[in-house]
Order: sequence, then structure tokens, then C-alpha cells
Amino acid sequence: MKRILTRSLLRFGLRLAGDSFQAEDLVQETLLLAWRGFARFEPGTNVRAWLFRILLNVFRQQRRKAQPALAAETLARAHPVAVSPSRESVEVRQALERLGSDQRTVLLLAAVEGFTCREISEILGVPMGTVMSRLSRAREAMRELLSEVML
Amino acid sequence: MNRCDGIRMQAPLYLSGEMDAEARDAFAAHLDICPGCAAMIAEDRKLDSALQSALGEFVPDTGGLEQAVRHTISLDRRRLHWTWAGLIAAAATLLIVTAIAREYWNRPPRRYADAAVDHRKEVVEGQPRRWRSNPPELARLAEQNGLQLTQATGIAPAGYRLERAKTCTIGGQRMLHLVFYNGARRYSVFVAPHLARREMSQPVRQGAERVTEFDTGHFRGLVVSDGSAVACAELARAAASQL
Repeated sequence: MKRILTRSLLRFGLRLAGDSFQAEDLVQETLLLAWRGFARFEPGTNVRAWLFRILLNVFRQQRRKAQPALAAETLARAHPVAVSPSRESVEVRQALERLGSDQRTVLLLAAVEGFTCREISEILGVPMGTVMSRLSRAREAMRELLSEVML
Repeated sequence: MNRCDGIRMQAPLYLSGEMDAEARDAFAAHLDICPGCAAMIAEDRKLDSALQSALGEFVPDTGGLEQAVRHTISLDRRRLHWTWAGLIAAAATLLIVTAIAREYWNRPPRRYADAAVDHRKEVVEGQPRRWRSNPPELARLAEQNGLQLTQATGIAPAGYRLERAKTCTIGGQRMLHLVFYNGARRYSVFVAPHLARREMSQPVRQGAERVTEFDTGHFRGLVVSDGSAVACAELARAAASQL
């Protein structure tokens, strides 16, 4: 269970940071902060959402310090998939990269990590209506970008 | 806002399965009659599936990462352990220092020990000293120390007489050492002129003797006796009342 959670965090960290070393630092920092601040975790709430919220906060802090521009190609570079990616996979990743950061984040959390709108609202600290509208616009943008490839 | 706009807004909740049964049924009923909205939902499902295929299948190796986290946590724990150990050591040191300081501050003044030693050596053990015992010498000696002879003789309770006297140094201060005798027992009074507030200490044991200090405002004195604490205090009170 712990390993699955770590993998999930690392996968999301890779998409945020765009670099495997940065992503590992991000997840390591997240897990250490969670360990040190576990007293602040409210029992009965979603530990996975809590960890993702910490990870996003750490990422935002690091980004504010470093201000790195996420290049469009970093996402592809960050995914050393063992098998050759299909044309569809490449197109999907490239389309995802063209989304704004907010839309991309909610889409990744919902479609890939399987969080509900309420959980995403908790992770991002934004109202649920904001999550729903970002998600709707993200899916709409992706539909348009991928209309010729897959739909 | 028409019905389709509402459906598009609610689509994320439908896709994530967060709708209650009633809302879900209403949503599904609309999809049944609206090909546009049904197509949109189908495309969104396909998109999510494509995203999962493109990104979700990647399983990163987390072994090294987890090991690094475990290592850091163990260092954290060790640091915490040493922090506690340090705090405990500091608390223990503080306790020891406090105990020593308390012992030091509660220790009787040096003059008490000096007086008790003088009494023991010079009166109890009888080591030779240059005593004054005849009345004129006693009177002169008393005057040199700011006392009238009558004061010096009067400080003893009934039955005691001033047997002899000499000057000595007690706690770094020159004092008059008076020895009183009642035919069976001797005790010493050390007295010196002193301007301070009136007070009397509790008797303090110094070896075999007890020492009580008194201060009359004009004289400071020490009474050394091998009697009880009450008796020693009584002798000091008697002396203080006459000075």
C-alpha cells in the first residue's frame, strides 16, 4: 500500500517537476514533511489526498524559489516508459503539455490519479466549483487538441 | 442557462461518481435524450482512458527513494533521541547545581565553625591561651571591646559567673571571648560591637557544640555551648537582653 502510494506520488511529481531527480526530491520532501507533521493529519480524512496536497505545496514553494519554466518536452522526457509509446500516447502527452498549469493539474489528479472533485478541492485548497470548471475546460481543450488523433 | 449547459457543468461529478443516485439518474436520463451531451461524456471517458494509458501505466522505481526517506527518518529519530538526551542531561545538571548551591547557601557561616572550634580547643580541651580572669583585667578587656564589665558579667543566667576572657578572631572579626562557669559546666560567648538590626539565629550544631548567634543592634555575639539547642538559644537570649 505504502509503495503504491509512493509510486503514485512520484508519478505525479514527475509530471509536475518534469525531471526525475527533482521529482524524487519533491516526493522525499513530501514524505518527510508528512512524517514530521503527522500529528496535524486528521484521522478519518483521506491520507492520499493529504499527501498530494503536501506534495503540491512543496512543489509550489520550490517553483517560487527556482522559477523554472516547464518546457513542453520535459513531460515526455520525464516518462521513461519501457515500451515505445504509441502515437496516441505521445499526442496525449503533448496535448496535456499545452494546457495551462491549473487545468493540467486537475486533469492529472482526476483522470490519472483517480481523485474525486471533492478530494481535488481539498488537495488544491480551492472551491469545488473551481475544480469542476477547470476540469470541464481542461477536458474541452483536450478534446479539441486531440480531435484528429483519437476521438 | 439551458439544460445542456448545466449538464456540462455537472459532468465532472458524473464522471467521478460523486453524484447521489437521484442526480445521477436525472443526468443519465438527459444523456438518453441528448446525443450532443452523450457524445461529450463518451469523449471525456475516452480521454480519461487515454490519459491513463499514456501516463498512468508508468510505474517508477521507488526503492531508492523509500530507502532515502527511511534513512532520513531514522536520522530524525536519532536527532530527536539526542535532543531528549541533551534535555535530560541539562535538567540533571541543573538539579545538581541547584542542590550544590542550596547546600552552599544553607551552610552555616564560617564564624560559627570558628567559634565552636575555639570553644572546644580553648575551653573543653583546655589548650593554653592567655586568658584574663581578674576583675581589673576583665574590665579593661571588656572596655577595649566596647563593653562595660557589668554588661559582660550580666549576660549570663543566674548561677553562672564570668570565669575568664580573651580576644580572638572569629570569622575574620575580632571578638571578645567570654567563658562562663556554674561550677559544673562552661559555655562561651563571643561578642563584638556591631551596628545591625536586632536578630537571633536558630542554634546550629557544629561538631559536639551548638552555636547561636545574636545581634542586639550594638553587639553581635555567638554563644557556644555543649548543651541542648533550647539551652543554647536561652543562653543567647539572656546575653542579648543585657547588651
